[in-house]
Amino acid sequence: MFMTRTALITGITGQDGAYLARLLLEKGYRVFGTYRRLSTPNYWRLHYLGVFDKISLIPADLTDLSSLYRAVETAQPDEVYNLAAQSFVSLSFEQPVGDFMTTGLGVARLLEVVRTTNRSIRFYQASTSELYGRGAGGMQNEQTVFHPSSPYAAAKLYGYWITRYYREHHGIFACNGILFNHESPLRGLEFVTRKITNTVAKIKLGLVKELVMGNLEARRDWGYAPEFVNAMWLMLQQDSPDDYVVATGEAHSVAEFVERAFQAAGLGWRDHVRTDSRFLRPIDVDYLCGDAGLARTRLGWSPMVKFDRLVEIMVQEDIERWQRWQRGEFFHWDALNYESEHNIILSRDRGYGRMG
Amino acid sequence: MPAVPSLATEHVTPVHPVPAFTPFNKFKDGISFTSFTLLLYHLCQVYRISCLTVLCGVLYNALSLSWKMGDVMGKSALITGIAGQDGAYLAELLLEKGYRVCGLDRDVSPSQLWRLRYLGVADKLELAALDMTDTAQVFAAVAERKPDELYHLAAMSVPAWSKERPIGYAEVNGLGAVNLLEAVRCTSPHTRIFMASTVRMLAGGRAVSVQDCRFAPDDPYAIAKLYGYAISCIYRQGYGLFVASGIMSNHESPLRGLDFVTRRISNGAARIKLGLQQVLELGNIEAVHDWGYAPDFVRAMWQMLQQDEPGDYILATGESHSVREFAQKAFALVGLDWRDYVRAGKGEASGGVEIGAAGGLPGWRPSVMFDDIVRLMVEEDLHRWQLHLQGKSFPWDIGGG
Repeated sequence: MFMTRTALITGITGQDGAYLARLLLEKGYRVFGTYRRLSTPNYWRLHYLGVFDKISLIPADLTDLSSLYRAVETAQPDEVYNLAAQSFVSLSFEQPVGDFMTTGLGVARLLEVVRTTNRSIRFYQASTSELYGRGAGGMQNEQTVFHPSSPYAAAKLYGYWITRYYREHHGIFACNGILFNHESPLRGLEFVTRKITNTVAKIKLGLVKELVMGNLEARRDWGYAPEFVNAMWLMLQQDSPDDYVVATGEAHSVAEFVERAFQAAGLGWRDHVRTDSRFLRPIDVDYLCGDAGLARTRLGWSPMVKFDRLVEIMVQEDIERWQRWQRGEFFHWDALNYESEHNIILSRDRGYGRMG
Repeated sequence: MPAVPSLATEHVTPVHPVPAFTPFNKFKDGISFTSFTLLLYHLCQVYRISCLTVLCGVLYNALSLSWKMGDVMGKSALITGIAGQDGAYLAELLLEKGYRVCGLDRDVSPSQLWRLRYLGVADKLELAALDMTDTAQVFAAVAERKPDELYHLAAMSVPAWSKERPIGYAEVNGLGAVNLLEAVRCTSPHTRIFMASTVRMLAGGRAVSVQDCRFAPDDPYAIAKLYGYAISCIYRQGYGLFVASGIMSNHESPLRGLDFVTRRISNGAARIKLGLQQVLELGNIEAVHDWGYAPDFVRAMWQMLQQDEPGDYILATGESHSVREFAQKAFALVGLDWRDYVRAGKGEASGGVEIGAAGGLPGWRPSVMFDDIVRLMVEEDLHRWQLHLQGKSFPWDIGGG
């Protein structure tokens, strides 16, 4: 008889949290998720995928060890997926201290809770290709040296190593998934991909005229989030824990993403795109391209959705949403609450630090 | 970065003869300005030299003195972790160079300051309490002083204990680092920052510069320190701060804490010699370390902040020795055979990280090497216990005072 397994997902309200919750429910898991209780609930992704009523939510905060302890005690999970983080790289330059408290120290707190409550819990840590940083070149795999280039990446570096430490010294089944960028229609609007597809959809429908961009030259390896969460699950089903790169193996520039998105909407991009230095990061990672050979051979994982298809999916979905909105339909969605960023003051505007 | 010839193969002659460590009548080279003037005046009375000559002498003296002090005249420095070994030596060095020094530590009550009193610098500093994990307190400490140079030495520094306290180590060593960098960025961006980093975050090998290294932190101490190193690079590149990390191997001295194996051995050998103890228990004596001399290392810290451009440097001697060798030498110095007294445990094999060469910092070389470090430490501990047995009181980490 198959025992019902239980999973605890931190950051269940995010893109990956929502897709992973859906995947695990399909596999028959009981799913618990931690979330930060806010005055404006952030459940739209869970509603969008139709999983909101099938999961249990536990208020918890990565900066509060006791809340994590109670979450683990409540859920009694077989598997813990630590997806919670301050995940937006640009913002980490504004709040480096807070980033370490959550994205870095939060990992150690959660692992410490696992160690002290039930060492047989399998633990997934959301590591990131941002660890490789600027100037990595070539293809990056599990052996490539990390040179983190943002406070976000530095905090994730801590999380990566402390995860390995608990695996090697406490025998916990803990895995780092070094996931390259993974996108979807559930991506947050602060991320460049979704910002592009959402704005392209609005331009298509005549709601706005232009798309204002930062660095168009950055190249990234972009995959499709629903496929990437499958790799997370696979890592925890192996006989022994390890770290895996999850990527498509193709690098494309932001400019290509823009071009392809306008193309998918049947528009030319040159008339609509402007660049503004306020969207540049103090240091930007120039090139990332992952070699997921280990995930392919050991996990049997490989991506189906590549760049062109990914952009199409995202643009089509955003056009459809704005059309539904124009027809007056109600549905859970983020874009109506997200206006422009023109009135956001960044610390560099105030001259903090001598910007390089 | 110019490569320094490997120090691993050649014998390094100390730049200066190694001074005996005698803090009780510690000779300070040079005499004070006032006493020099008084001396001149006295000579003038005795030998009936004209007042003009004396005046010229005084002026010459004053001019040459200020020239010698030169560009460091009036600089200010803030040192976190002032109560530790490096904090004390660095304070001494900077005071000699004419800096105004403010020292911070978690606890600056008199009992914690034995090292500063030992070096005779406790009364020449401004001291204040600081908890590195308290962002507001760190901001205030930097904003109120806006120092020219900031040396961040505060850390929970015993790697072995971090296994029991991973969160605490991450808070002090990791969060503390970013608190400090953020405080400088927001309140005093001209401040030059030295960050104390460790070779324990590296995989070792024959690396000369950190660019050649793989990272392999193996305990929560080193993992938190790796974060501190990474975030320092980001503050330099992203925010343009002058941040320099010294990636240091172990560095020892008679001021080392008793939590560290070197001092445990020197103290144990001294006590056994004097019949105060029969056995010295150690962990894994095969563990190998690159041991340098702490006063050499604080000199490198200062030099790193005097460069034109900020950079990271590996600070090490390039020589590795085992705990067994240390014990052997230490007991031989007091005329004993270590095998009769040392009880070696299993412990973890992971000792230090071997560094092929002390890399790259222009104009810096360690001047005191293994043999002399052992000798200085054992002689000093023997001396202390002898004084203690005579009933003398002095600043020390054991016998009170």
